[in-house]
Amino acid sequence: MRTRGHCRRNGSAIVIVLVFVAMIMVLVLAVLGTGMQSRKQSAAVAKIQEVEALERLPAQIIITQLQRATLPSTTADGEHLLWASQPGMIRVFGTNSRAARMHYRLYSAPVMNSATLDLTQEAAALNPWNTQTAGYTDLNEPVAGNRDGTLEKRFPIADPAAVGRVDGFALRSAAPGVDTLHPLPMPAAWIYVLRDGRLVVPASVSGSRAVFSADTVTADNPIVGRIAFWTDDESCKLNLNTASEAAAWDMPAANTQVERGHAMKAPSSVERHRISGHPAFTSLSPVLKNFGGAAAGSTQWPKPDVVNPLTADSSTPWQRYVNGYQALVPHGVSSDLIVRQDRHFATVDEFYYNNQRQPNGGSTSFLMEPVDLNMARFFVTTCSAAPELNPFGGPKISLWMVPQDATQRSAVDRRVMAGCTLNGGTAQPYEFAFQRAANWSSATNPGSSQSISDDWMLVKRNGQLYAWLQQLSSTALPGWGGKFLDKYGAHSRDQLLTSMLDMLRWTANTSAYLPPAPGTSNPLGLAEQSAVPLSIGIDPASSTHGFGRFPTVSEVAVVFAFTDVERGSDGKPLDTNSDGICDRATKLRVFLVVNTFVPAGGPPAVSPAWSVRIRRLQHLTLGQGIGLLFPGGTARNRCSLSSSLPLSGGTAWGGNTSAYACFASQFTQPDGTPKQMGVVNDPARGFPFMSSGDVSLQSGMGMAGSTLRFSGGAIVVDLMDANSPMTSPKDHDSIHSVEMEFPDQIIPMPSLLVSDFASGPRSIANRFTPAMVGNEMRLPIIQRGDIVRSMVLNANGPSNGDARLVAARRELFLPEATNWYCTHPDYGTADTPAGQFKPQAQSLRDGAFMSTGQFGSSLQPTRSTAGTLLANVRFADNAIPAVPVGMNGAPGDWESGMGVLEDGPLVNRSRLLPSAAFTRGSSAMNSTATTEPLGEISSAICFGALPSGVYGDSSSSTPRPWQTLLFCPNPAGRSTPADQPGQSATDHPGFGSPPDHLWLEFFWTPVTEPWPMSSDFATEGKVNLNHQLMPFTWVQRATALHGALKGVRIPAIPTAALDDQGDSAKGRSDGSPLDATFRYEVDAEKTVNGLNQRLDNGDVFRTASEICEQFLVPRRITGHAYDGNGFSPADPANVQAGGMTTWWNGAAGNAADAFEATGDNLRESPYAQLYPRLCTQSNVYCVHYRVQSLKQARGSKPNEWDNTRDHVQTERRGSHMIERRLGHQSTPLPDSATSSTARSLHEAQTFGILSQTPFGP
Amino acid sequence: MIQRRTAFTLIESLLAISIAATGLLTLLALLPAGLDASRDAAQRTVQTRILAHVREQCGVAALAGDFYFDVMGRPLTSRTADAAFAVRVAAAAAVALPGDTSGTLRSIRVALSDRMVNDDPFADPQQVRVQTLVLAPVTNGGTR
Repeated sequence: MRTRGHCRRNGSAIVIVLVFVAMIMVLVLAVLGTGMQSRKQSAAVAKIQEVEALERLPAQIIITQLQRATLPSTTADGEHLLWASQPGMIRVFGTNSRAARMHYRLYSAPVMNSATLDLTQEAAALNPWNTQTAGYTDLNEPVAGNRDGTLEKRFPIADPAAVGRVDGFALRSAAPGVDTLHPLPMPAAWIYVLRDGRLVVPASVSGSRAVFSADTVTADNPIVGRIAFWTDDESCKLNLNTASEAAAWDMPAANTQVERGHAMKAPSSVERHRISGHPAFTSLSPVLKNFGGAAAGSTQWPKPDVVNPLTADSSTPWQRYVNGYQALVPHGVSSDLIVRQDRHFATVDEFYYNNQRQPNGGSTSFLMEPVDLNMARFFVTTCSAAPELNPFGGPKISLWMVPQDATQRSAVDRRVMAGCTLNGGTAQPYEFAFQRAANWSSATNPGSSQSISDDWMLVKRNGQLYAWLQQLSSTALPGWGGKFLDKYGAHSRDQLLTSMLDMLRWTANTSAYLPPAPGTSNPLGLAEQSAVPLSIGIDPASSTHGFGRFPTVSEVAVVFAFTDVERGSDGKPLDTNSDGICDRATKLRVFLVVNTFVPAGGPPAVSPAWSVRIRRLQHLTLGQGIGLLFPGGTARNRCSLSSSLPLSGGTAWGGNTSAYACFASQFTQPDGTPKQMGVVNDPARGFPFMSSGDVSLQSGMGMAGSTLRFSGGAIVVDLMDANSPMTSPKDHDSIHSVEMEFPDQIIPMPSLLVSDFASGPRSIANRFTPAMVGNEMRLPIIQRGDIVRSMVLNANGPSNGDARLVAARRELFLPEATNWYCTHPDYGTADTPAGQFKPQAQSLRDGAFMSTGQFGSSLQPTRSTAGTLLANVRFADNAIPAVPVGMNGAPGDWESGMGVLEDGPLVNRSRLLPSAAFTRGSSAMNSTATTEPLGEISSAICFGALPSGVYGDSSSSTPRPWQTLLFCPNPAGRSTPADQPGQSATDHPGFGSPPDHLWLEFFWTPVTEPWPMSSDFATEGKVNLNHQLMPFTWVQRATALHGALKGVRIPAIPTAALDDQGDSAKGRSDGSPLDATFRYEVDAEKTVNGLNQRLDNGDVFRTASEICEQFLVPRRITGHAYDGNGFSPADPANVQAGGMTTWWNGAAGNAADAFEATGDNLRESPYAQLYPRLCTQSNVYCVHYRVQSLKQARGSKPNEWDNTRDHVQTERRGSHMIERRLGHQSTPLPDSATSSTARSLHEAQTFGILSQTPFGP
Repeated sequence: MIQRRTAFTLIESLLAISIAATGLLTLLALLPAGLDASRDAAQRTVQTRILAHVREQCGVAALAGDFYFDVMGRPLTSRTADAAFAVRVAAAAAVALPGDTSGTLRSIRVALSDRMVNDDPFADPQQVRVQTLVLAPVTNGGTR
């Protein structure tokens, strides 16, 4: 029988085995499970890698698009190309049409590139995005986040809550498909990715279902992912590393308290936020003003328009305002002007912290919350740059002229040159800057500024760059199609180039180049701040001539000074009728006075050193051939007095900030001693151009009340080098020569007072000895009893009174010179009734004087020496323009004199020594030490003073007076309304094709301080004019433009402020400044509306220079006085951009009803402040993407995708920052200026991804 | 009466042995699968790393040819005894953008094999892991 124990033992082996097996099974399953888990993990890693590859695809596509759009500089058939970028698109222009030849979309779209573009359709295509979910997605779809227990939406691109908080950000129309989950949709098309990498878009989309071509999408090559993206242009954002907060500053436009205040407090070397061409002049306040915990209206961040602008530099509120922003940015300055030591922000996120790892702006109580930072991300960047290449892709030429000798270059020079040198650091550097042969060294070694040719003949590079500009200006400009050569003609084009080169010599970086004012190194101030004009060529048919800071001839006067009269036996003057008038004059001496005119006058004060030779004087006779005893043709008068040199009384002669500078130097030796009359062989001490002795009148001549015959004749006035030897005249041995012909005419006999001759013959020796008249020193060169006959610049001749056209000609000889000079209106003719002859037909004018009158036996009112710039407008006594007598309105461009200085045909746009604009002369002030090139010259808009038709144009060689390069939309001659297209050459020749403003695109000034913002021929922080978001045209983001416009001021002088009255824009009658303002801030909204007209028409700005075609709408600045002082200019408050022509120029034919008194320089001033900070090409782009890896459900058709059925395995969102830049070249690039193999530098650009920012709150 | 200890019966033993054998064999048969899964996972991870490496390299320069990696995914300068993976990078047909007939994007076929015992690791397409990279063209510009 079996026991129970036996029974228990039975089967225990199985149990043991089963237990053992179970244990083994657990072990094996564990191994198996671990393996499977690892497999899943590795599969997941592989998926991540796949989606990462997808994430990179949008950036690769955009790089490809950028390469295709921006690299080629010509087509296969040689057509030059120009590209312009904007958020979402790059357009390429050729020369055959004004329209873009190709549009490269930078957002995912069914068609990525197209030759045509319909803006309306482009946006309309996105309307059904929210219903066709298989075809489109919202890139700006927010996600919910939790912050401190509060649910908030975070947007990957743009937060609609910024509307109203950020300037320039607005919804122009309702966005399509707006709902609660998509408050600001930015839809883009899905592009599907196949396994073999192909990119496809659906053949049709219906709701969540997309159908593809069955030929392309197959089971073997299925859909593996999809991508959508949109690319922002970082140049449409404010750069946190370069922008700060602008404090408006400009050269003085008038004599007001504000202008004086600014002039006396010119920007220091670290106040770059006051230098209008510097990227730091662009303001951050359009974004930040309502952030940082400061609500609108808070006193923490007072708006600039509530700060008293009259004390803008020092008042506490303003300082606090500016410093509030300055303290936040790397290059800012604190209140004590110490450059902040800080690193640059690599990302916008870093803006949250300062370098102490503390919240940024803690010292200013500025606390930007993370939510603010997220909102600001759409408007600010830390990396933006724009190419500094000309329309042909060559390097722009630096406006900062440097010494050719590298050892003479300053530290600033070297930094600038580093920015404008191609292949820098290699053995083949090519410098794209004009250069000077030699700096000033001493009075005896003045350098090349005092040479007519050294800067041309001794500097090979200048010739190369000049020839390159000739070549480029002979080529059709891409985007426009025309050639400068065809517009101006070869001679005027070359004249422009020469004028530009010449102007750069003396406009900026002059401290070591131009002779200094009187002082230790130049005791007598020889040639103070002057430059001899640069002249190229001698063939009259092709030679060209700059202006220098050198005189031309505005008038030549012949002074007949009667020295003795007929006397009786008692030796007393005969006075038969006892009327106090001598019966007859018997002797006289004659001398000539040259009235000089320096077109480049203005601050800093200038005293050219020159000598004058007057040829053919021997031909001048009186009566029947009475010679006037003039010297021969070798005689010179050396004129080198510095008008800034204090004379014996401690007062300088002055007048040398005016265009009528250096008049007195004809009669005064360099040390102030009067010149010796009639000394011929000593040009430094003598005045040769006078009768060597008394000229005796023959019997019967000189009777009181009679007339004399003055034979006249052609004379040649040669302005020569101060040290030119007294040798016989040779061809082309002068710097500047003019020929004029005095007519054979009768002149009246003066009424000589018996009292003047009672004590014997009258001496003329005192005429060069200054005498005090009132508080002024005067040269009594014309006295009672003299007869004066002048030839003056002919207001009705070829120059129309525009002295610039004379100065621009090295030699103006007859017969070309016919009618360029004419007799003074009071000269008289044979038909002049007896008794109506004027004894003194002259309009001699010395810049030292204005309201107190000029030369003559009694001081002739300055008004009588000049015509008027504006037809039928009688200028105030302290504002008499620098135009020849007889002129009634300049039909075109003229320049406003700065400060108290007179308006006229000037060419000086120097920004040195603004304080000197409030004196007619200058005490010994040296040029300011140069530390910031942009402060002295920031763009080629300074060329706006240069005449553009000196030798006519391509169709006619007739000179075009009062026509200068046009860099503004509102020339005085414009009548075409601003809101009507078609401003044309009839408004101003500068509008003609190609427009003048394209010259700007060939020049630049590298930004080197406080750190090299310009490198590799690109500058950081520029703002793109093309702010339109493609294709999201319902969103406007002009914030960066608002920042760029913030500090710009528009000067506008109403004619009423210069019209005849005691006070004028030049100050009160006592010289004190007006409590008024002539400057306006820019109404950014209205101005942007004007820009939008163009963008809304489907066009873009091809070059930044096109801002010069756009009206900046002015707005009065709160706290400024515009009315009063006898004038009340039109308030632009109710004027839109379209009404600006009328606001500026008033009614056609009326020169006194608007702001016609605003000179060309002032009209162009706001563009000079703005243009250097603008661009139309960007080097940095931010690609916002959304990618998904996909897997189709089992049973799905390979060529169909259905959101509701198939699977989205992974999704990623974020952005890539892409940069293009001039890369390091393995072999040096050829010289763009000289090499026939040189290509566009666009072709040498490289592309890279700077950073990737995931969006995953 | 003396109690007699009884042992397992033959049948019982046979039954137990058969069950144990069946179970162990079954479980042991699963063990390689688990080990394979583990090895596959490790290899897949290494392969993923290798592909990421190759993708990075392709992004900065035009890359083509065969490349080798050791068992840890570290690049080798040539096919040495340590080579555990081979990668063949070759240009594929250029990829066109939507709406654009011209292929402008670079397409690169990256094939990865661990069949290093073969003279040609890529001989058997079934054993090759393939990934396609789509990249921007390499331009004539300089280096960054």
